Amino acid sequence: MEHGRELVTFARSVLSPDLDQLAAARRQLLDCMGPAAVVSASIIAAGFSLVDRAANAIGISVDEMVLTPSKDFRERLGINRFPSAANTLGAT
Amino acid sequence: MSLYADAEYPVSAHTETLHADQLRSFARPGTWGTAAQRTAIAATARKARCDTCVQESVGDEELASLGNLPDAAVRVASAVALGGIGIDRAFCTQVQAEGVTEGAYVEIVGLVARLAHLDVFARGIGVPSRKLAEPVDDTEPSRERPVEAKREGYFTATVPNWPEGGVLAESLFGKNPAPNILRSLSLVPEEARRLIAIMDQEYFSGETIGDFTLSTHEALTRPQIEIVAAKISEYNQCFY
Repeated sequence: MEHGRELVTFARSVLSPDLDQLAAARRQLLDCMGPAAVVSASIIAAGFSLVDRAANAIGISVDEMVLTPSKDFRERLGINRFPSAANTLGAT
Repeated sequence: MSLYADAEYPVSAHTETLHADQLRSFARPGTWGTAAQRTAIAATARKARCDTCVQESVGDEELASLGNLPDAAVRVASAVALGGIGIDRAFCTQVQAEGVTEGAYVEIVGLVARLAHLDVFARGIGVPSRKLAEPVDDTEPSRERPVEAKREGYFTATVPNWPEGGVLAESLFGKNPAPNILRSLSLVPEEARRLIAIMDQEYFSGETIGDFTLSTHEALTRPQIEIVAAKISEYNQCFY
Protein backbone atom coordinates (compact mmCIF):
# COMPACT_ATOMS: atom_id res chain seq x y z
CA MET A 1 0.00 0.00 0.00
CA GLU A 2 1.32 3.42 -0.93
CA HIS A 3 2.52 5.34 2.17
CA GLY A 4 1.28 2.51 4.40
CA ARG A 5 4.39 2.70 6.56
CA GLU A 6 3.95 6.42 7.23
CA LEU A 7 0.25 5.98 8.04
CA VAL A 8 0.93 3.11 10.44
CA THR A 9 3.70 5.07 12.17
CA PHE A 10 1.41 8.07 12.51
CA ALA A 11 -1.49 5.98 13.88
CA ARG A 12 0.81 4.35 16.43
CA SER A 13 2.37 7.68 17.40
CA VAL A 14 -0.87 9.61 17.88
CA LEU A 15 -1.63 7.36 20.87
CA SER A 16 1.90 7.40 22.23
CA PRO A 17 3.03 9.55 25.18
CA ASP A 18 6.11 10.53 23.17
CA LEU A 19 5.37 13.94 21.60
CA ASP A 20 8.68 14.02 19.73
CA GLN A 21 7.84 10.71 18.10
CA LEU A 22 4.40 12.05 17.16
CA ALA A 23 5.86 15.25 15.70
CA ALA A 24 8.30 13.22 13.60
CA ALA A 25 5.53 10.90 12.37
CA ARG A 26 3.33 13.88 11.50
CA ARG A 27 6.18 15.52 9.59
CA GLN A 28 6.87 12.29 7.71
CA LEU A 29 3.22 11.99 6.72
CA LEU A 30 3.07 15.64 5.72
CA ASP A 31 6.13 15.30 3.52
CA CYS A 32 4.87 12.32 1.58
CA MET A 33 1.09 12.87 1.47
CA GLY A 34 0.47 16.54 2.24
CA PRO A 35 -1.44 18.47 4.93
CA ALA A 36 -4.91 17.14 4.05
CA ALA A 37 -3.70 13.60 4.75
CA VAL A 38 -2.56 14.64 8.24
CA VAL A 39 -6.08 15.94 8.93
CA SER A 40 -7.78 12.89 7.41
CA ALA A 41 -5.57 10.40 9.25
CA SER A 42 -6.27 12.30 12.50
CA ILE A 43 -10.00 12.15 11.81
CA ILE A 44 -9.89 8.38 11.29
CA ALA A 45 -7.72 7.86 14.40
CA ALA A 46 -10.21 9.98 16.35
CA GLY A 47 -13.26 8.13 15.04
CA PHE A 48 -11.86 4.72 15.93
CA SER A 49 -10.85 5.98 19.37
CA LEU A 50 -14.56 6.63 19.80
CA VAL A 51 -16.03 3.42 18.39
CA ASP A 52 -13.44 1.15 20.03
CA ARG A 53 -14.42 2.54 23.43
CA ALA A 54 -18.13 2.17 22.75
CA ALA A 55 -17.66 -1.39 21.47
CA ASN A 56 -15.43 -2.48 24.37
CA ALA A 57 -17.57 -0.87 27.10
CA ILE A 58 -20.97 -2.01 25.80
CA GLY A 59 -19.75 -5.48 24.89
CA ILE A 60 -21.23 -5.60 21.41
CA SER A 61 -20.53 -8.61 19.22
CA VAL A 62 -19.11 -8.54 15.71
CA ASP A 63 -21.78 -8.49 13.02
CA GLU A 64 -22.36 -11.85 11.36
CA MET A 65 -21.48 -10.51 7.89
CA VAL A 66 -17.94 -9.70 9.14
CA LEU A 67 -17.34 -12.61 11.48
CA THR A 68 -16.93 -15.43 8.98
CA PRO A 69 -14.83 -13.55 6.37
CA SER A 70 -12.43 -12.39 9.10
CA LYS A 71 -11.93 -15.81 10.68
CA ASP A 72 -8.55 -16.66 9.13
CA PHE A 73 -6.76 -13.37 9.78
CA ARG A 74 -8.26 -12.85 13.25
CA GLU A 75 -6.54 -16.00 14.42
CA ARG A 76 -3.33 -15.23 12.55
CA LEU A 77 -3.03 -11.67 13.92
CA GLY A 78 -3.88 -12.58 17.50
CA ILE A 79 -7.13 -10.60 17.51
CA ASN A 80 -8.97 -13.54 19.06
CA ARG A 81 -6.87 -13.03 22.19
CA PHE A 82 -8.18 -9.50 22.84
CA PRO A 83 -10.33 -9.42 26.03
CA SER A 84 -13.29 -8.10 24.03
CA ALA A 85 -13.18 -11.19 21.78
CA ALA A 86 -15.23 -12.95 24.45
CA ASN A 87 -18.16 -10.67 23.62
CA THR A 88 -18.41 -12.38 20.24
CA LEU A 89 -16.60 -15.72 20.47
CA GLY A 90 -17.85 -16.49 23.95
CA ALA A 91 -21.37 -16.39 22.67
CA THR A 92 -20.88 -18.53 19.56
CA MET B 1 -13.18 32.34 16.47
CA SER B 2 -13.17 28.88 14.92
CA LEU B 3 -12.40 25.88 17.08
CA TYR B 4 -9.12 25.02 15.36
CA ALA B 5 -7.90 28.51 14.43
CA ASP B 6 -4.49 27.62 15.87
CA ALA B 7 -4.04 24.54 13.64
CA GLU B 8 -1.34 24.52 10.95
CA TYR B 9 -3.40 22.05 8.93
CA PRO B 10 -6.54 22.62 6.84
CA VAL B 11 -9.45 21.62 9.08
CA SER B 12 -12.74 22.00 7.19
CA ALA B 13 -15.56 24.19 8.45
CA HIS B 14 -17.72 21.05 8.43
CA THR B 15 -15.35 19.34 10.87
CA GLU B 16 -15.07 22.44 13.05
CA THR B 17 -18.87 22.72 13.30
CA LEU B 18 -19.27 19.05 14.23
CA HIS B 19 -16.50 19.13 16.83
CA ALA B 20 -17.64 22.42 18.38
CA ASP B 21 -21.12 20.96 18.82
CA GLN B 22 -19.68 17.83 20.43
CA LEU B 23 -17.56 19.91 22.80
CA ARG B 24 -20.54 22.04 23.85
CA SER B 25 -22.62 18.93 24.54
CA PHE B 26 -20.44 17.96 27.51
CA ALA B 27 -21.47 21.11 29.41
CA ARG B 28 -25.19 20.58 28.81
CA PRO B 29 -27.70 18.38 30.60
CA GLY B 30 -28.04 14.89 29.13
CA THR B 31 -30.63 12.16 29.47
CA TRP B 32 -29.17 10.83 32.73
CA GLY B 33 -26.60 13.38 33.90
CA THR B 34 -26.85 17.03 34.85
CA ALA B 35 -24.61 19.56 33.09
CA ALA B 36 -22.35 19.63 36.17
CA GLN B 37 -22.12 15.83 36.30
CA ARG B 38 -21.38 15.56 32.58
CA THR B 39 -18.69 18.23 32.79
CA ALA B 40 -17.19 16.40 35.76
CA ILE B 41 -17.25 13.09 33.86
CA ALA B 42 -15.41 14.68 30.93
CA ALA B 43 -12.82 16.25 33.24
CA THR B 44 -12.39 12.93 35.08
CA ALA B 45 -11.75 11.19 31.77
CA ARG B 46 -9.18 13.80 30.80
CA LYS B 47 -7.48 13.45 34.17
CA ALA B 48 -7.22 9.67 33.71
CA ARG B 49 -5.57 10.15 30.31
CA CYS B 50 -3.22 12.86 31.60
CA ASP B 51 -2.26 10.74 34.63
CA THR B 52 -1.21 7.93 32.30
CA CYS B 53 0.68 10.34 30.03
CA VAL B 54 -1.33 9.60 26.88
CA GLN B 55 -2.49 13.20 26.83
CA GLU B 56 -1.24 16.58 27.98
CA SER B 57 -3.17 18.64 30.55
CA VAL B 58 -4.89 21.83 29.42
CA GLY B 59 -5.66 22.76 33.01
CA ASP B 60 -9.35 21.82 33.18
CA GLU B 61 -9.06 18.82 35.50
CA GLU B 62 -10.44 20.84 38.43
CA LEU B 63 -13.86 20.58 36.76
CA ALA B 64 -13.84 16.93 37.87
CA SER B 65 -14.92 18.03 41.34
CA LEU B 66 -18.06 19.79 40.08
CA GLY B 67 -20.54 16.96 39.92
CA ASN B 68 -19.81 15.20 43.23
CA LEU B 69 -19.49 11.97 41.27
CA PRO B 70 -19.85 8.61 42.99
CA ASP B 71 -16.75 6.44 42.95
CA ALA B 72 -18.36 3.95 40.56
CA ALA B 73 -19.01 6.69 37.98
CA VAL B 74 -15.39 7.82 38.27
CA ARG B 75 -14.25 4.23 37.66
CA VAL B 76 -16.41 3.96 34.53
CA ALA B 77 -15.17 7.29 33.14
CA SER B 78 -11.53 6.39 33.83
CA ALA B 79 -11.80 2.88 32.37
CA VAL B 80 -13.45 4.11 29.17
CA ALA B 81 -11.00 7.01 28.88
CA LEU B 82 -8.16 4.47 28.76
CA GLY B 83 -9.82 2.44 26.01
CA GLY B 84 -12.30 0.28 27.90
CA ILE B 85 -10.00 -2.66 27.26
CA GLY B 86 -10.59 -4.46 30.55
CA ILE B 87 -14.31 -3.79 30.79
CA ASP B 88 -16.43 -6.90 30.96
CA ARG B 89 -19.95 -7.84 32.00
CA ALA B 90 -18.88 -8.22 35.65
CA PHE B 91 -17.51 -4.65 35.73
CA CYS B 92 -20.71 -3.31 34.20
CA THR B 93 -22.85 -5.26 36.67
CA GLN B 94 -20.72 -4.15 39.61
CA VAL B 95 -20.88 -0.42 38.89
CA GLN B 96 -24.64 -0.70 38.47
CA ALA B 97 -24.86 -2.45 41.83
CA GLU B 98 -22.99 0.55 43.26
CA GLY B 99 -25.57 2.99 41.91
CA VAL B 100 -24.68 3.90 38.32
CA THR B 101 -27.93 3.17 36.48
CA GLU B 102 -27.79 1.33 33.18
CA GLY B 103 -28.76 4.50 31.30
CA ALA B 104 -26.16 6.57 33.14
CA TYR B 105 -23.52 3.93 32.33
CA VAL B 106 -24.28 4.18 28.61
CA GLU B 107 -24.29 7.99 28.75
CA ILE B 108 -20.89 8.03 30.47
CA VAL B 109 -19.49 5.60 27.88
CA GLY B 110 -20.77 7.75 25.03
CA LEU B 111 -19.60 11.02 26.51
CA VAL B 112 -16.11 9.79 27.35
CA ALA B 113 -15.72 8.06 23.98
CA ARG B 114 -16.72 11.27 22.19
CA LEU B 115 -14.25 13.23 24.28
CA ALA B 116 -11.48 10.80 23.29
CA HIS B 117 -12.50 11.42 19.67
CA LEU B 118 -11.90 15.16 20.07
CA ASP B 119 -8.69 14.74 22.05
CA VAL B 120 -7.11 12.25 19.65
CA PHE B 121 -7.97 14.50 16.71
CA ALA B 122 -6.37 17.51 18.42
CA ARG B 123 -3.25 15.46 19.16
CA GLY B 124 -3.14 14.28 15.56
CA ILE B 125 -3.11 17.77 14.09
CA GLY B 126 -0.73 19.05 16.77
CA VAL B 127 -2.90 21.39 18.83
CA PRO B 128 -3.76 21.17 22.56
CA SER B 129 -7.05 19.54 23.54
CA ARG B 130 -9.85 22.08 23.44
CA LYS B 131 -10.70 23.22 26.98
CA LEU B 132 -13.92 21.96 28.56
CA ALA B 133 -16.57 24.59 29.21
CA GLU B 134 -18.24 25.28 32.54
CA PRO B 135 -21.70 23.67 32.83
CA VAL B 136 -24.34 25.86 31.21
CA ASP B 137 -27.50 25.21 33.23
CA ASP B 138 -29.00 23.14 36.01
CA THR B 139 -31.92 21.57 34.14
CA GLU B 140 -32.73 18.13 35.50
CA PRO B 141 -32.09 15.25 33.07
CA SER B 142 -35.18 13.49 31.71
CA ARG B 143 -33.98 9.99 32.71
CA GLU B 144 -36.17 8.55 29.95
CA ARG B 145 -35.40 4.98 28.96
CA PRO B 146 -36.64 4.02 25.49
CA VAL B 147 -39.44 1.46 25.75
CA GLU B 148 -38.09 -0.17 22.58
CA ALA B 149 -34.79 -1.14 24.27
CA LYS B 150 -34.28 -4.83 24.95
CA ARG B 151 -31.62 -7.35 25.94
CA GLU B 152 -29.65 -8.44 22.88
CA GLY B 153 -26.78 -10.16 24.67
CA TYR B 154 -24.60 -7.08 25.27
CA PHE B 155 -23.68 -5.58 28.66
CA THR B 156 -26.53 -3.07 28.36
CA ALA B 157 -29.89 -3.02 26.59
CA THR B 158 -30.04 -1.66 23.03
CA VAL B 159 -32.69 -0.59 20.55
CA PRO B 160 -33.15 -3.32 17.90
CA ASN B 161 -33.11 -2.54 14.20
CA TRP B 162 -36.30 -1.49 12.43
CA PRO B 163 -39.04 -2.77 12.36
CA GLU B 164 -38.62 -4.36 15.82
CA GLY B 165 -37.20 -1.12 17.23
CA GLY B 166 -40.15 0.87 15.90
CA VAL B 167 -40.19 4.57 15.14
CA LEU B 168 -37.17 5.21 17.35
CA ALA B 169 -35.06 2.69 15.41
CA GLU B 170 -36.17 4.21 12.12
CA SER B 171 -35.23 7.70 13.32
CA LEU B 172 -31.81 6.51 14.51
CA PHE B 173 -30.78 3.93 11.93
CA GLY B 174 -33.28 4.11 9.08
CA LYS B 175 -35.00 1.00 7.78
CA ASN B 176 -31.90 -0.97 6.80
CA PRO B 177 -30.17 -3.10 9.43
CA ALA B 178 -27.53 -1.00 11.22
CA PRO B 179 -24.14 -2.43 12.24
CA ASN B 180 -24.03 -3.25 15.95
CA ILE B 181 -21.62 -0.39 16.65
CA LEU B 182 -24.21 2.17 15.55
CA ARG B 183 -26.73 0.59 17.93
CA SER B 184 -24.29 0.24 20.85
CA LEU B 185 -25.31 3.45 22.68
CA SER B 186 -28.98 3.37 21.69
CA LEU B 187 -30.24 2.93 25.27
CA VAL B 188 -29.48 6.67 25.32
CA PRO B 189 -30.75 7.76 21.89
CA GLU B 190 -29.02 11.15 22.07
CA GLU B 191 -25.63 9.43 22.47
CA ALA B 192 -26.42 7.05 19.59
CA ARG B 193 -27.38 10.02 17.38
CA ARG B 194 -24.10 11.75 18.17
CA LEU B 195 -22.00 8.65 17.47
CA ILE B 196 -23.84 8.10 14.18
CA ALA B 197 -23.39 11.76 13.19
CA ILE B 198 -19.63 11.51 13.72
CA MET B 199 -19.26 8.23 11.83
CA ASP B 200 -21.50 9.39 8.96
CA GLN B 201 -19.47 12.55 8.48
CA GLU B 202 -15.97 11.32 9.23
CA TYR B 203 -15.93 7.62 8.23
CA PHE B 204 -18.81 6.02 6.30
CA SER B 205 -22.58 5.95 6.69
CA GLY B 206 -24.51 2.71 7.10
CA GLU B 207 -25.33 2.89 3.39
CA THR B 208 -21.77 3.48 2.13
CA ILE B 209 -19.67 1.37 4.49
CA GLY B 210 -19.96 -1.74 2.32
CA ASP B 211 -18.66 -0.03 -0.82
CA PHE B 212 -14.94 -0.74 -0.68
CA THR B 213 -14.27 1.27 -3.83
CA LEU B 214 -15.43 4.43 -2.10
CA SER B 215 -13.29 6.82 -0.06
CA THR B 216 -14.82 9.59 2.00
CA HIS B 217 -11.50 11.41 2.36
CA GLU B 218 -9.90 12.98 -0.70
CA ALA B 219 -6.43 12.58 0.77
CA LEU B 220 -6.76 8.88 1.65
CA THR B 221 -7.84 5.80 -0.29
CA ARG B 222 -10.16 3.28 1.37
CA PRO B 223 -7.26 0.89 2.18
CA GLN B 224 -5.31 3.82 3.67
CA ILE B 225 -8.32 4.72 5.85
CA GLU B 226 -8.63 1.12 7.01
CA ILE B 227 -4.94 0.72 7.89
CA VAL B 228 -5.15 3.73 10.24
CA ALA B 229 -8.39 2.39 11.73
CA ALA B 230 -6.87 -1.06 12.21
CA LYS B 231 -3.81 0.28 14.07
CA ILE B 232 -6.01 2.30 16.45
CA SER B 233 -8.25 -0.71 17.13
CA GLU B 234 -5.20 -2.91 17.68
CA TYR B 235 -3.96 -0.44 20.31
CA ASN B 236 -7.38 -0.44 21.99
CA GLN B 237 -7.55 -4.25 21.71
CA CYS B 238 -10.98 -3.91 20.18
CA PHE B 239 -12.17 -7.19 18.67
CA TYR B 240 -15.11 -5.43 17.02
